[in-house]
Amino acid sequence: MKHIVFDEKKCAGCNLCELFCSSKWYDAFNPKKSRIRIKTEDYVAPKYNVCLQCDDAPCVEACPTDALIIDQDLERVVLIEDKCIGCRLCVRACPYDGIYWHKDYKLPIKCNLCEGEPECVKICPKNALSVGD
Amino acid sequence: MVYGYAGKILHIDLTTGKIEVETPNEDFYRKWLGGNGFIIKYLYDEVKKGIDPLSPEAVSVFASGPLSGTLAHGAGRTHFGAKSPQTGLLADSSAGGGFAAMLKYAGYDAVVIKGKAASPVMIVINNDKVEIREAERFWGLKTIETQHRIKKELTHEYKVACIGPAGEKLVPMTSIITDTRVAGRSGNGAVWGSKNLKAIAIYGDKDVKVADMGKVKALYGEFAQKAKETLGGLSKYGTTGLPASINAFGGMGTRNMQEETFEHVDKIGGEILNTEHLIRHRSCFSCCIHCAKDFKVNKWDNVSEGPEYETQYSFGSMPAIGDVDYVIEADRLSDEYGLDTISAGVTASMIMELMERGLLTEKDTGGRTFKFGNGEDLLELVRIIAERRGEFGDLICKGTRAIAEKLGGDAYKYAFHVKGLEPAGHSPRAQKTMSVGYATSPRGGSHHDARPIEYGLPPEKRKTTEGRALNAFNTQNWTCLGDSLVVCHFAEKIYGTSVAQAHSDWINAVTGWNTTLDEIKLIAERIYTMERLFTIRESGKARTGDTIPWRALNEPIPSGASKGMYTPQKELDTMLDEYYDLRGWDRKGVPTKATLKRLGLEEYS
Repeated sequence: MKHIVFDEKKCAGCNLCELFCSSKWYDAFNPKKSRIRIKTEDYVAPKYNVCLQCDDAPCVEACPTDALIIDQDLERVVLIEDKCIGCRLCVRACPYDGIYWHKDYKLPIKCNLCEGEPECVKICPKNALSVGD
Repeated sequence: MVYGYAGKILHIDLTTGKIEVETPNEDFYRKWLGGNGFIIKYLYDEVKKGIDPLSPEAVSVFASGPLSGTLAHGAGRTHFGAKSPQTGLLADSSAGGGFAAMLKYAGYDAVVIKGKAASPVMIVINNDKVEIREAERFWGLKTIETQHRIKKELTHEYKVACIGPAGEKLVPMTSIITDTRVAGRSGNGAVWGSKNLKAIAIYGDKDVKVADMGKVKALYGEFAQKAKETLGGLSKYGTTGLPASINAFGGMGTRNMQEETFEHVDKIGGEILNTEHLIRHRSCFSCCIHCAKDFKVNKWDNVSEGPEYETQYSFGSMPAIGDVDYVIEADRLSDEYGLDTISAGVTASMIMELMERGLLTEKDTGGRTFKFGNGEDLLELVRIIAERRGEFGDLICKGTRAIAEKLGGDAYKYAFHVKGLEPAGHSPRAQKTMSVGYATSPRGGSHHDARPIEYGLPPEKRKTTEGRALNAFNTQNWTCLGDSLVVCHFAEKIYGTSVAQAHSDWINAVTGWNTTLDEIKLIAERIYTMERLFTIRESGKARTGDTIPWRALNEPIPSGASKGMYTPQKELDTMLDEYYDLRGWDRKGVPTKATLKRLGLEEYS
């Protein structure tokens, strides 16, 4: 499956990916509404969290309403919003902390690869993000 | 609500524990914008004239601006302000990182702190929940460990700003640190120390909404493209590449300004740092330039973010240190203790010169000699200042002006300061813009009021005073506006060094206002003149305080590309006259009634 790949050697920790992500999907600048998260710490390389679009996805398994499904065309795990009941079981099931919850929404915050052209990959000033298989 | 702003300002009294939220009206925001505008407004109105900067009555403010939390260049920067324990005037210093952006996400534009806690505390802001918590266990810790331990207790999602042991000991030249970024100048750290305030931790998950998202993204796109084309050097080297060119220009202060070219400049320059010491590039929040660098101290296997140019000057050429490991280590120690590297380095250099001249002896220093070029001597001086060690440490931690006053005699000639603040590494002798710029800065020797824009000009074109007052006026207005937005000054190669249409475009796209270039120029002048009123009120001086160090007035640069240059009093007077005219201040340097009216400051006349 396709997913966002992160190069910690290139990332300088500007968090612009978070701002572009939250503004694209939620029309606001808010890192806590971003589907990708960059954690910066002093003197060590930044780390990232984002949905890894697992082949064998624990979130898909955990979803009681089949709202999360494997999208074979775009090779990703996708949320069918109409089916989601906002139970957050997917957030808990994700072993990578790649799905988030924000009190402003009734749906999980999860990367869908921007329908094939991820915004964060496009704007990363250090080319630290790419789409990989 | 105005777009871009949170609409709330937090007031915290550490004596009573009272926490209040103010919701200013739109006029307030449009008149003062943010950052330094908020700071000077609250300082002037809430600090009583003549108070001790380290007393409970003193006020400490930190602020974001309208662009904080958006995509604007360096819009994570935080502006900290107080009455300075170092100069007695405005302490106003800005740190990179993302602290102010987080403040905005928590729902506040600024925080105003007064009073004094009975024992060490930290302020914890989690969106609407604001608490003053006991912090005895962090007192005495250095800055990086303090932040790590606080984040471990609260979660790593928090942003923390804190002081180090130097701030706790009320060393006047102390900084506030957030991540590894520093609000270094003029002693904000000691003000927190005097309030028993060790740290502030913030977590926010609220939106920053803008009026025109499409326009904001278009402005960012233009900026990012231009940054790629013109700021490649900053991305690669940060400012560490500057020593080579500033040295060749003949304006790199050396041996406490005895010279302005440094023979070992290559040994502390960008090439060696970036080939032998670079670990990784770092960026402030929401900045595509990533000018910050983590460097390794190879000798001791330590890591420091920085040094940058000013520290290569203050811990490199000024004390004549030709081994970059010592420059990085002195920078690291200063960040850990929470010390301003510029003032500490210039003060250490003065000590070295005073000992060389016999004006200071081992009797004064507790039995130790400090020599130019000796890295161990430099590190020891940094520790003595930061720890305020003994009688000697208690004196020199107050900086060059205090040392000269204590020693008397000729010592004043070797005290490189303006209004009590040691200037950065942009020579007032080699650039007359910086002579008049430093002289009229409300902070003293700050390179973030007037900007050094004469680099690249040959000496014959730099000998004139013509146009220099205008340079200072324009660049001061531009940095002043930048500090109210709050954005990074390193956009100067893109937007120029005057207040520009681009600034107005950013403000309008974010806030939804229809500001014009004229309106934002007026805002910059208003804030700067308000800072002037504070300077006059607190020092009792206007023109008589607008001066530059003795060496800059009296001693020509002895060698190098700027040989022979200096700024005699007559030239400074000519520039000051022109400058005051541009500002609408009278020839004594006092804003006229008409000017105050033009700037909407009638109530202060």
